Amino acid sequence: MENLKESLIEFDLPKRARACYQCGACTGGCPVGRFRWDFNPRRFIEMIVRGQLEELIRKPTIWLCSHCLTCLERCPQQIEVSEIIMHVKNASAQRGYAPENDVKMADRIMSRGWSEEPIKRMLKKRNNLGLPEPAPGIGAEELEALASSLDWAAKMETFKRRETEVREADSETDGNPAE
Amino acid sequence: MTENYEYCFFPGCLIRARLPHIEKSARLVLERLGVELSELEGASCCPNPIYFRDLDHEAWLTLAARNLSLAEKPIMTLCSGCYSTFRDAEHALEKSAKLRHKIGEHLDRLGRKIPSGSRVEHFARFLFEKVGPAMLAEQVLRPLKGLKVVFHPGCHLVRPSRIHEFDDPDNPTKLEELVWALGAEVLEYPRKMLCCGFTVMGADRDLSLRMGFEKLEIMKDSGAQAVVLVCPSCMVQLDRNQRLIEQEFDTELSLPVFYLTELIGLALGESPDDLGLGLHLVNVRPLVEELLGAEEGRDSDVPRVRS
Amino acid sequence: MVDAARHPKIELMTYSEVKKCEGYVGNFRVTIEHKPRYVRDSCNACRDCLDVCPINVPNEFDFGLSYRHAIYQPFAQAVPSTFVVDSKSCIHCYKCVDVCNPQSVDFSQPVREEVVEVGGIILSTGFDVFDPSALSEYGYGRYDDVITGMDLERLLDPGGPTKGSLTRPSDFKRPDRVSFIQCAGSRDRNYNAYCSGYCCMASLKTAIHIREKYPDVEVAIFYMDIRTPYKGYEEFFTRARKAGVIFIQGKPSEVAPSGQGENLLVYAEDRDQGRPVEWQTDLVVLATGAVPSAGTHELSSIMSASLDETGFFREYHPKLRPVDAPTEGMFFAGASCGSKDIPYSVAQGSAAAARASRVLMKDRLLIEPIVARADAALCRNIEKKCGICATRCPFGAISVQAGEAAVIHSAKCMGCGTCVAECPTGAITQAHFHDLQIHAQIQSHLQRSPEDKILSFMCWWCSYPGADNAGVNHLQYPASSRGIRVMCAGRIKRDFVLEAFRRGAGMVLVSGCHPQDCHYLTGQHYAEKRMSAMPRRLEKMGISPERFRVEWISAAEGAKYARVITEMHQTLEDLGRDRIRKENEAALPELDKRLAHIPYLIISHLE
Repeated sequence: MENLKESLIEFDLPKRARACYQCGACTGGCPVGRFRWDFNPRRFIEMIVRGQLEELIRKPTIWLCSHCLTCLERCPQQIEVSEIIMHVKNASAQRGYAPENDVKMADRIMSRGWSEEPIKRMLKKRNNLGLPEPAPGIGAEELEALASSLDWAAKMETFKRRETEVREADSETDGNPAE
Repeated sequence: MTENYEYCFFPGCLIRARLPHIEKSARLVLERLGVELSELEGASCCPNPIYFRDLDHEAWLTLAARNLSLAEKPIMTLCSGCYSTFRDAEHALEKSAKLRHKIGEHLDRLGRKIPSGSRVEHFARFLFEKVGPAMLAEQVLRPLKGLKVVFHPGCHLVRPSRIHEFDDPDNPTKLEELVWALGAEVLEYPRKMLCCGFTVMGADRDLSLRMGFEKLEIMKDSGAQAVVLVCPSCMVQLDRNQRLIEQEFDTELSLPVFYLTELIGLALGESPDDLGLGLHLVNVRPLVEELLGAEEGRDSDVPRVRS
Repeated sequence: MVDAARHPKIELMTYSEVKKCEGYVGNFRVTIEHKPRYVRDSCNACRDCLDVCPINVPNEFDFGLSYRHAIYQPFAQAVPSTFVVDSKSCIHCYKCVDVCNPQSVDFSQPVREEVVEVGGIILSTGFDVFDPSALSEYGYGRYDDVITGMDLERLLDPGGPTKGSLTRPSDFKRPDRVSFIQCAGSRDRNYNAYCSGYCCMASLKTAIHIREKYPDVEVAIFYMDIRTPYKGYEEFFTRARKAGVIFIQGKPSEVAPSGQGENLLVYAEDRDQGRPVEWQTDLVVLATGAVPSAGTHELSSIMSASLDETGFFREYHPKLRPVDAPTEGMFFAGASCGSKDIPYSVAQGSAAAARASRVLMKDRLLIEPIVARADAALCRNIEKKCGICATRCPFGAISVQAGEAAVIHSAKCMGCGTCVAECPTGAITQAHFHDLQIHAQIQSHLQRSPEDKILSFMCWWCSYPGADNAGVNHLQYPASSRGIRVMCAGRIKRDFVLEAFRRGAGMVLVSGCHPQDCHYLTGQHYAEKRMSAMPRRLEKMGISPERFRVEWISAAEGAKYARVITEMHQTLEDLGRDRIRKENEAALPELDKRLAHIPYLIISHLE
């Protein structure tokens, strides 16, 4: 909780969020919101303005944001909606709500330097195309130093935990609209 | 080309691991246009502007700053995601002394310094701003006459417009001029900036495919023969996942997807095999053969000039 | 308009522009350029020339929805009815000359300049409509069937391009579904941050009109808020709902072709239902707001009438003097100062006329006696380009020509004294508030036990009455303050503050109006800037910076004045007399040096 407030403040976001007059331009153009009515950026900002941060962090649907930045471009109050959701995701991650894929990828990046490694077949294809070997990446030592400096192990622990409470499904309109 | 450009090459994780043909076409085209690409050693994932950034801002910014600090020359990236990470990181560090200090402490422990200024270039922007459609047209040996395509700009090259300040964030047309310069025709289609949905895959596979389907459907309805794009994530979603989408929604799309550098490569006379076009999941062979004539479409000899 | 043209005491000059404006209230000299119509007044508007003119250009009056010829009448009811030739598009084929019966077409007409002498000026230059091409997400300019509210007005006007029939531009058919998008480019920090105030009513009007004339046409209005204050407007909103207009609260994100013919889709969130919608429509109408009319910027320089941050003219005070310009004798009416609707504009028209007639009714006008005067002998502008005084004056009272001394027009001077304080050579003096007078007051206040005293500089309009307010309310505060009143905080020179410390003052307060409330518009702003470096400067001289304060106190804030003096007195006591004396002594040589340019001070100090 503290971290979310802090990180929002660090990036100067709560003050901007207060300017929101709930016009709905963000939700109106959201490519995710079209298919998932329980993903409503306007409502997320409303929750921030009303101080309902705890509830917002626990909403699993915030992870559906594709960060296409349409809302950010459309907002007449220049509120960086997508940015704010990114920070909410950070706080949500610390409660263990992050999708497994994200956590696994982060693990790969911090332990091996890359989000994925080329498989043998791909290396062969690279060779066939006459491409040079991929340049050597960050060394193991430096990765360790980085992880240690960022206190990464502790962070990973928080990402992997799951809260004991039952995760609430967001209520408003369940599921997808009729096609 | 009279100018000589020097960049540190940063293909990004996805291209490096899964899309060697894109790296190939990019290297070929950039080098043909006078760009000297040096290898960037010791780099890591940019890191991923969605899947990593959404877990921890501090770690994301630190890794990004570290990558930027490695580059002795400006970085040329092939991926809109990497471009987004680097530009957002530069912007955040520029705006906040507090962040500079905090991230600086991490970099200190690695014996590195906080980078300053803007040192990143997206290959497509480079092609438009530094090479330009006119110069590109002069280099074309094999105009792609008769090819009708649609351009998918992707979300992170033009947005956020306040940071990138490149083209209209709702209807960008600059990069399309590069495709016109190759002799092809770029078709209009509605909702050009609609997100392909790749980034949602981690959270909801069905939703992601649904978004990809909508995008592909709209593009197909425009009458285009192919899609052109500039981001490997979009490439994976629209090319690699196209069959999945076809299956999921019981439809036939068969819409070839090209990276901008691949089309340029073809127009500059490179052979489809040299460009690695066989590595596309959606078969581009029929279209390429139609474009270049059956013989040329198949072999990798020295390209011939087409009138 | 015809009545105005016929009135014996009204001279209507059309197709004319103001090029220069000199003088002052009651005595303005305005240079007007009359552009040639190339058609004489003998024109009887018979329209024979229209039949022969080969040129077709978009008709501005119809916002490009129809064409006009190079020789034309702006609209049917134009006054005068004389036609005009658009010289930019005319190809000089002279067919109109040949066909004109009264032989009114005359291409030899020259540009005419005329100087008129007037007592008062009213600027009612109106507004232009915002061009929504910049909103590329709505597709204005890309999709034929996305139009503006004004475009629609022309389509529905019986005298318009479709004779009042609701037609959509793409296929000239009647649309079945019309959608309005309110606040297009308005209330939007990316374009116009303000609300233009008329667009809600305008759209409601058109929506009701369409519903009443074409009952089977669906009309939807996408809005953020419906703003219908004042007389009759709320009832009008009710009428719109009863007429079956569909209201959807949700600002649309974009408009895109639906893929079926020319039809469009509006993407928005329907907030009432809490979900996104793709609204099918045949015609999209963007309700766009007002922007300053073209040429406002140039006119602002010509008339010395400043603009506010939105680019509209700045009235003297938006609530208390809404039709007055800062310059005496100049007035505003209507949307020139900011978007307004019809009742508001009409009321302002009457108001401006009344205000202007006050000037005209008298033979002599009483002007401000507390005016500034520039001494040509001391003015720096003669040798080296300066002109600072002119830039500080919000009333345009100072003119500075290259190589000449600044000239202050006493009829335009409102007496704030800001130019006096800003002049780098001290060349400007102010009647009744001469530096000598102020220094005499400083000296007199600090004659005995100066280190026990708080010297307060206060402005006539706000902080002095604020202090007075404290007294009237019997608010208690220490008796250590001694006040010096000036007309405006802008008058307060740095020298006064330094002289106060040189005379041994314990504390110095500079006070004035709150920002935005300054009676002279910008005096407080310059005072604030001028005093901003003072604490650091004092500190360098060894004077504790907390002995100097700047406060903005309104006439109602007696309590604030009392609090400030109480706090300053506390500081005075905390520092103690000894320390204050020591600091003053230590700073004396530096202060003497800095004030050495004021001759009478040195003399009095030697006494």
